[in-house]
Amino acid sequence: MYENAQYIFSNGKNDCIRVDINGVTSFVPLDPANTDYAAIMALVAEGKLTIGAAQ
Amino acid sequence: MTATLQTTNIQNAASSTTNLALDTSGNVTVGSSLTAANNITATSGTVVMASSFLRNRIINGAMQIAQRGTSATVTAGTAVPTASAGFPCVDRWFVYSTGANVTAAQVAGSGNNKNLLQITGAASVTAVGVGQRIEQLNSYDLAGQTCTLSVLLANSTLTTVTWTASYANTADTFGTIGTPTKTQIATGTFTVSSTLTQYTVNIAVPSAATTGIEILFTVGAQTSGTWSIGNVQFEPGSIATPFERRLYGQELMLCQRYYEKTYDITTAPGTVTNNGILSMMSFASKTIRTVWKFAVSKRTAPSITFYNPNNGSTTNPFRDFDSSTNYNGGTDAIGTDNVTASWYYAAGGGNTNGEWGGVHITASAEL
Repeated sequence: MYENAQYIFSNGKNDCIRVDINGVTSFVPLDPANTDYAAIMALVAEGKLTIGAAQ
Repeated sequence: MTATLQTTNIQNAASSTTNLALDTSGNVTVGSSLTAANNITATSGTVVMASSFLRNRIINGAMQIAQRGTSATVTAGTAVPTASAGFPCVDRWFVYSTGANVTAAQVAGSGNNKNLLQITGAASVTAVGVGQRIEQLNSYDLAGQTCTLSVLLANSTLTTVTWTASYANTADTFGTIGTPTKTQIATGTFTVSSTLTQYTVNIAVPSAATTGIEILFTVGAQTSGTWSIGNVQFEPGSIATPFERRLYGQELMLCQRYYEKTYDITTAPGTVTNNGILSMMSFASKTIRTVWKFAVSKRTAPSITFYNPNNGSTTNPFRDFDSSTNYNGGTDAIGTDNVTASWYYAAGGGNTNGEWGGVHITASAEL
């Protein structure tokens, strides 16, 4: 389960996503070949998850 | 009395093809398989196998590597596998259950087999699956070939294990169990017992299967008892050759392409220990960054998780050992070969000059 997703901003661009995965905070690269990223984007497309803007 | 038999072909009376063909240069061509009760020796030259050595495309088929831990609860659900979910125990093998949680554990094997993966059932379980996805780079050449799947299986309560081979619809993208993006190649069943036994099956891999291959074993309602799996081999050719035993260090490196950690190999993530931490030195008012260079390049940029060496927590995982304080942190650069760990500056306190900090990290690029 993916919750509390938020972009991490670095070097002038969004660099990765900080997200709680089954309650564990992890950092997911913006790489379509990363299976967490693919799952996150599928949830976003379905309207089931929102990725917060970087602070 | 000795004599020389001169002929060009030797063929069994009931065979439609030549068993042995002899040419004018002294060569012998065997029409099909060659079986020897003892060694086959080449006095010069090399015995060349069409499928070559390192023929097993399954990694950790002997279930010997267990970087994440040797036992874990598998939470029921089908939103797995992903890089960070669905890999509870032995490396490279994802496990899922439906209906209720099960336990996955690396257990002792028997005879020459040191380990097995064992699933322990529970009431209300409706299905359990154990699988491995072979990435495109390691299976591309299998397309259009007959391959052979071999596995040791035992089940103390159920008598049917279903095997299914699939290929990804796009390169290395299989989706999850609940939302698959894969195409079935073939499926079938093994009738099993409580005695560990080897089962084999030939699988015709279609020419379209150039995108990665998944091997999945499933059982139904494992509401009690145990299901054991070991020595999984998937190889080109129609013959089930003996299980290929790779050296532990080789197998570990193969696993680390998909998962790696800063902990010692036998230490599960979340364990309280300083062994292997990524050390850092604080500098007041600054976020401190340092790089963890992976031992093995990853399949793709991995998902990263930080663990506090002092309490095992993933919350405030950066530990200042000098002030005995825990801090938040993260990363802003994840590559296939390294990751930058960032110990965030905490406004209003902490992070004074020259204090020793550290963190543990895991990196997963599973598919």
